[in-house]
Amino acid sequence: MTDAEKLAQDIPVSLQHVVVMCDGTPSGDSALRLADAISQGTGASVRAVTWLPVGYALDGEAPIEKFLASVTQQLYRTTTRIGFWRLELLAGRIDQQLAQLCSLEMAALLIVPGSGSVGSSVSQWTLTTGIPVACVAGKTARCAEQVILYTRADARSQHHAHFMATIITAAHTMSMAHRTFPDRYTKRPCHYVQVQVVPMEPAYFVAAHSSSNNLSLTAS
Amino acid sequence: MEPQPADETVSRIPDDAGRPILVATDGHPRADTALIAAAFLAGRVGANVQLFSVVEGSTPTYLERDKTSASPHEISELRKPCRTHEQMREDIDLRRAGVATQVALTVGEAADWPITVRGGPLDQTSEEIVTRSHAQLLVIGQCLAHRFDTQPGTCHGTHVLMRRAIPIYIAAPTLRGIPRRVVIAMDFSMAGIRAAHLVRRLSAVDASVYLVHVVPKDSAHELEERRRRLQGIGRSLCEGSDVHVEPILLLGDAARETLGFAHGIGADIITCGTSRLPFLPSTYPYPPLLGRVTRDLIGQASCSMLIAPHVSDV
Repeated sequence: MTDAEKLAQDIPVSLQHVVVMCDGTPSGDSALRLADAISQGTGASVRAVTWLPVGYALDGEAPIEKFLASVTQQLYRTTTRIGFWRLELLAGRIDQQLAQLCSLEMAALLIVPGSGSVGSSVSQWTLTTGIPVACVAGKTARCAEQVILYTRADARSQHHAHFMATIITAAHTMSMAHRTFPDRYTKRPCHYVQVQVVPMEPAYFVAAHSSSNNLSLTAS
Repeated sequence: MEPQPADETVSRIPDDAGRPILVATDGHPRADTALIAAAFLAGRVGANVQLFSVVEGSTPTYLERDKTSASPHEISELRKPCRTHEQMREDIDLRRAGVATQVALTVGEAADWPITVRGGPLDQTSEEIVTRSHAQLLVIGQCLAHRFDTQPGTCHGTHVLMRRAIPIYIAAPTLRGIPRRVVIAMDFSMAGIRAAHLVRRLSAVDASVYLVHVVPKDSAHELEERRRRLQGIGRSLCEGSDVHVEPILLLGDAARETLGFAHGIGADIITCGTSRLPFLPSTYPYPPLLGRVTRDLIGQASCSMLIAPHVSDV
């Protein structure tokens, strides 16, 4: 073990706040279910975020309200609604807004759907937000669902990511147990979380400090 | 029951910051919940987790069997005082692999939790490991020994680990995460007050806490005095937190009434201090045996439990 790793091990990390992105897709359901399980397991508060997809038609009667209503419906359909879930709507370039939101919320984890609707820059969000990003992916050969947890390469971030991976797995094991056999825990046939390190690129630190336009609404 | 001012007791509660959470496991599936609970609790308070397992002289296979159905050969195996050095080493290696697999499949391979496996008697060996770890909490899985011809009780391992001078979290299979509905069985002892403050720290920030005191029927005349003390402790629990604390006074048998109340509200956890047997003083390094109320709560609760030892035992 290196000195940096030893140092990282001594840093306590706690999970108080989580940000989850929901997009109305089945993959978004999985992301919300995972956030819900983590919230139940750890008591962490959850901020749900959605965004107006590129090219979303803003015509017709009350389009934003209709969009928000559909995502709110997904939120209520998927989760146990324990606690108060606030839904944030982003518009425009979401990368920097997400980073600002995670910072404002003091989030320790960002959960995103693996549907591809969020674009290809998911892994890079760990660089801009500074926290691990859990991407809930679809079926694999052995798992019905799997999470790719992106993290920065430094020792502290990796320690943080492993800490989060443990909590994510525990939450998933618990929720699966209660969904299938309420009286006992069933071990999974595969490893639910895969941690992937994202190399640092100076360009992202520049981007993280730039501002952008945003449209922020709140719904309960 | 020796009453102590709540403030004085709180000031003597050790600072747990930076101290690890310890998990005891024998690799059995019933300990899976202990690992899951430890992951959540660590996430709540920001602690590292360490695991330990003790391989005793006999293999777990024999210990877990119903002795009434054991063959003469198995009974003779049980009576052997100890295993050979090589056999013990094999058992330790086997246990270590089993625990590592349990960790990987329950909380994931990313959980880089240090695992300590030692051979020896559970009582002495666990005491050494607990003392050396300076842990803030010991987490174990719930193991209830239900037999049709006896009262419900706890397994041998639980009984032994309960004697450690460290708060113990017994994770039940009904675990759904960190506690949100909390029952504190308050007997006004220092251990009880310590348990109350400990569970508040380990519970959800918006948890509902029921501070329950059961007045024996022959002490009903002290009702008002006890109500006042209960409300005082309730106020100290609310300080600096968002938890909702509701003092509840019940009349009757402490264990039975507390269990009934906890069942009625669907509690996630019952918390209490270790009640003591009055005429059995502590024998260093072991704290005294558990009293009846604590034993009954542990043996009959269907939810998780948190037991705090007396502050002077720590």
